Amino acid sequence: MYLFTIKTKPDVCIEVDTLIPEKLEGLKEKEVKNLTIREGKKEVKVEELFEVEEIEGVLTFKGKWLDRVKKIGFNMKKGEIYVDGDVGMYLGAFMKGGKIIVNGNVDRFAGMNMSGGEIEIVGSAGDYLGSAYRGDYGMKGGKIKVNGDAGNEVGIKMRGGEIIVKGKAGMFFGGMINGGLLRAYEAIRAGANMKSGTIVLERVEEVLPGFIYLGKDKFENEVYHVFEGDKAVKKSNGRLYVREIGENK
Amino acid sequence: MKLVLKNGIVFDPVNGINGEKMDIFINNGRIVSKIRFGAKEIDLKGKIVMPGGFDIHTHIAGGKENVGRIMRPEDSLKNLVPKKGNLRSGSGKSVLSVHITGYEYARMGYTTALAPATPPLMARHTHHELNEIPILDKALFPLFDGNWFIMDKIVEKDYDAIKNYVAWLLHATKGYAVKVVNPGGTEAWGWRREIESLDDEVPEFGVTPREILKSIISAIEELSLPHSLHLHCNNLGEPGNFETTIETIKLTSKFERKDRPLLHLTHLQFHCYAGDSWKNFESGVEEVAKIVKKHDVTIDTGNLMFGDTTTMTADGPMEYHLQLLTGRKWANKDVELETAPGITPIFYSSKSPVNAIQWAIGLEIALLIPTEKVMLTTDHPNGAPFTKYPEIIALLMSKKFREEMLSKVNASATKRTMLGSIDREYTLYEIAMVTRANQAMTAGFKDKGHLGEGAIADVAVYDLPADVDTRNYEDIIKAFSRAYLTIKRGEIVVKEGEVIKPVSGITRYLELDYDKWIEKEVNTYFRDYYTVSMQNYIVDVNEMRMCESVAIKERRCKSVPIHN
Ligand SMILES: [Zn+2]
Repeated sequence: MYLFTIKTKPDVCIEVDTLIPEKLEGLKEKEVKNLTIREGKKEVKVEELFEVEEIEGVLTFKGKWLDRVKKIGFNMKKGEIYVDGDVGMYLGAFMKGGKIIVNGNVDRFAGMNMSGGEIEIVGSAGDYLGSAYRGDYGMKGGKIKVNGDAGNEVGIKMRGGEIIVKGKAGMFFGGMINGGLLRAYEAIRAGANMKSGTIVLERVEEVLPGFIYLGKDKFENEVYHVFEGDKAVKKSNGRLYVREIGENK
Repeated sequence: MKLVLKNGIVFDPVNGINGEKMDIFINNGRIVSKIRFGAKEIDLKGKIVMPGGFDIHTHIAGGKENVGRIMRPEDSLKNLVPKKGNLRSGSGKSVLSVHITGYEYARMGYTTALAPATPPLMARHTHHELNEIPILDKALFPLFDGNWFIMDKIVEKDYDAIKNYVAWLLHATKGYAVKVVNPGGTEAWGWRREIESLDDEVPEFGVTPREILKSIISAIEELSLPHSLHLHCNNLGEPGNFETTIETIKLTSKFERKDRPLLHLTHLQFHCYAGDSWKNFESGVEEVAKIVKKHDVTIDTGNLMFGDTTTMTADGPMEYHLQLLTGRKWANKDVELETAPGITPIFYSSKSPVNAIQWAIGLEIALLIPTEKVMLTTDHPNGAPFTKYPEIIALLMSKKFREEMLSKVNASATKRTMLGSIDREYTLYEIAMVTRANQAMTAGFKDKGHLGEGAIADVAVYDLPADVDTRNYEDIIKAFSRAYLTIKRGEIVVKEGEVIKPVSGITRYLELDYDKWIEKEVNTYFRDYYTVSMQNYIVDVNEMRMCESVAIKERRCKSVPIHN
C-alpha cells in the first residue's frame, strides 16, 4: 500500500476522502500522486501536499500537521488505514467496513454515521464521536474503541453498533439513541431522550429524572444499578447500567 | 460570435423539424438563415441538435429554498463541488446552492428555468438569488393564493380592483406570471380549518377556491398575460384528489380561449390520486387524462423518482400533513397576508407501495395525455432533484427500462396503475416537445424553445444517434446527462458535459399598465396590516443584475437587456 506524509503546514483544512484502500487498490505510484484531494474549496493533486511512497503493509498517514487533515477513511468499505499522529475531523465518517487505527487523538465527528467496520483510537476523541451528522440519522453498526477520553454528544441518534470509551465522556452521552451499546468510565446526562439501546457507565454524578430504577443486575458478570428510560420519550425501554452514583469526592 | 452547427440531426418541434440533417446558423446571439463568411464551423455528424432545454416549474430560488438549505446540512454533505478554474464551489443534492444550480442545468443542455412560487414579500430576496444563478435565463411567478386583498375584493365583487392589483403586484415583484397554490387552503389552515373542495369557504373571508380561481383567471385573461394561470390545485397528495383536479379543469369551460390555453396545471402527478385512503390508494390518471384532452389546459408532470429529496411548497397545510406521516423535521414560513410555505425532507422508497404508485403515475401522465399538452418536470425538488431528468427521459423512451424498473419496485405499481400495459415509447421529437418546445410556448417565451430564424440562439447538442435503439437506455441517460454542447445566446457555455464559460443569465419580467388609484387602495393594507411599507416592498429594476422586459401591449419580447 502507500504511505502519505504531509509536507508542510496547510493554510486551510485538507479533505482526503479519495484516499481510501478500495480507491488506491491496483494504482501505480504515479497515478496515486495525481489523484485529487481538496484544499479548502480548491481541488489539488495529492503530490502537492503529501510525499507518496509505496510501502509494505497498510495505507498509512504520517506527519506533524495531520490535525488539519479531514475525512480520513471517509466512506471506506474495506481494507485498513493506520494514522500516526493527531488527526482532524470526520475520521471514518460513513465508514461501512475495514479498520482504522489512530496512534493519537481525533477531532470531532470521528465515526459519524458509521454503519460497519472498526475504529481504534489510542488517544482521546473530540465531540460527536460516532454521532449523527447534523440532521441525519445516526450510527447503524460497527465498533469504535477509544483508550482516552471523549468529548460531548457521543453517539447521538445511534441505532446500532458499539462505542467504548475507556476514560471519561462529556455531556449528553448516548443522547436520542434507539439501539446499540455505549460504554464509558463516566459521563454527564447520559441517555437523554434515549428510546432503546444500552449505556454502561462505571460512575455518574446523577441519573436523569426520566429514568426509573429497576434494581441491581449483572452486565458481563459485573453488578450494576439498572435504570430504564428515558421516559421523556414514548414507549422507551432503554437500559442504563451504572456502578456508582454520587458526587466526586 | 458567428457560429455554424453543421451536419447535426435537428429536432425542432415548433418549426415541425423532425430529425432532419441541417445546418444551424448563429449570429449575434440569434438564429439566422445564413452566414456568408467569418463563422466558426462545428461538425456535429452523428449528434442530435435541439433548442436549449426549458424548465417551466423548478424551485431554484427564494425563501423556502433557503430554509431547505439551512435545514438540511446532511443534504449539502452528499454533493460537495469544489472550485475549479473560473467555476465557483457549491454544495447540495436536492437543495443545491445557486452557482451549481446553473452549472448542473447547463450540463444537461438546459438554458432557461422559471421559479414558479415566490411569496410577493420574498420577491426581492428571490431576485437577488436568481441574479447569482449563472447561465440560465429566469423569471419568477408571484403567489396569489391566500392574498387578503384579493379575497376582500371578491367579497366586494370589485373585479376591476382585482385586475389592477394583479397588474400592480406583477409590477411590484418584477414577476412574469400568476401562480396560485391550493387556493384558499393555506389561509384556512391558519384558522385551523381545511379546504377539501372547490366550494369550501375560507374562514373570516367567506370566499371559496372556485371564486378565487374564477376571478384570477378573468384578471389574467383581461390583462392578456403571456402565460396562463399557473395552478397547484387543492388537495395535493391526498388519496382521491383526482376529483378535485377534474372539477378544477372544468372551470375553464366558463372562459373563452384566445391565443393560448387558459390554465396550466402544475406537477399533475401529485393531483391524480384515486382511492380514499393510503390502503386503497391507486392511479386516477385515466380519468384526469380524458378531461385534460377535452379542455383547454396544459400540464407539467411533476415526476417522482426514488431516493432522498426535500419537499417545499407554498402549500403549508400539505407539508404539515406530510411531516405527520414521516415524523421528520419540518419548517413553516408564514408570510403575512400572502401565503405560508412549508418544507420537510422525504425519502421515496421503491419498496413502498405508495411511492411506487406515485412513480408510475408520473410516467402514466406523460404517456397517456396528448404530448402537445405535456411538459416534463419533477417539481424540483419535490418529486426528485432536476438532475433526474435524463433518467425520466430514458423511462419515457424505453419500454424495456420501464419493464426492468417495474420488476424491481413494489408490485403495487403494476397492480394499481396502467403503466405496465402501456407500449408507447417517446420519440426524440416528442422529448424535444416536452423538455423545451411546449415549455417555452406555454410560458409565452416566443423567442425561445425553437431554432427558427430570429429565435434566441439557445441550443443543446447531445451525443446520441438519431436512431438510437431504445433498449440501450443507459446511452440515453448518459447523453442527456452531459450535453455535448450547450449554447446560450450564441455562446458555447458547455463542452462535452463540462461548463467552460459561466456567463450570466437574464431575468425576464412583465411591463404592465395599471390604473394608479390601485396604489392608494393597496397602501391601506400596508398601513393597516403589513410590517413593511409599500415603498420598501416594490422591487426596483436596478436590483436585477441582467433583465429584459416584455411589454404586454405588443405581446412581443423586446429581448434587449435594459439594465446590465
Ligand atoms: Zn412546485
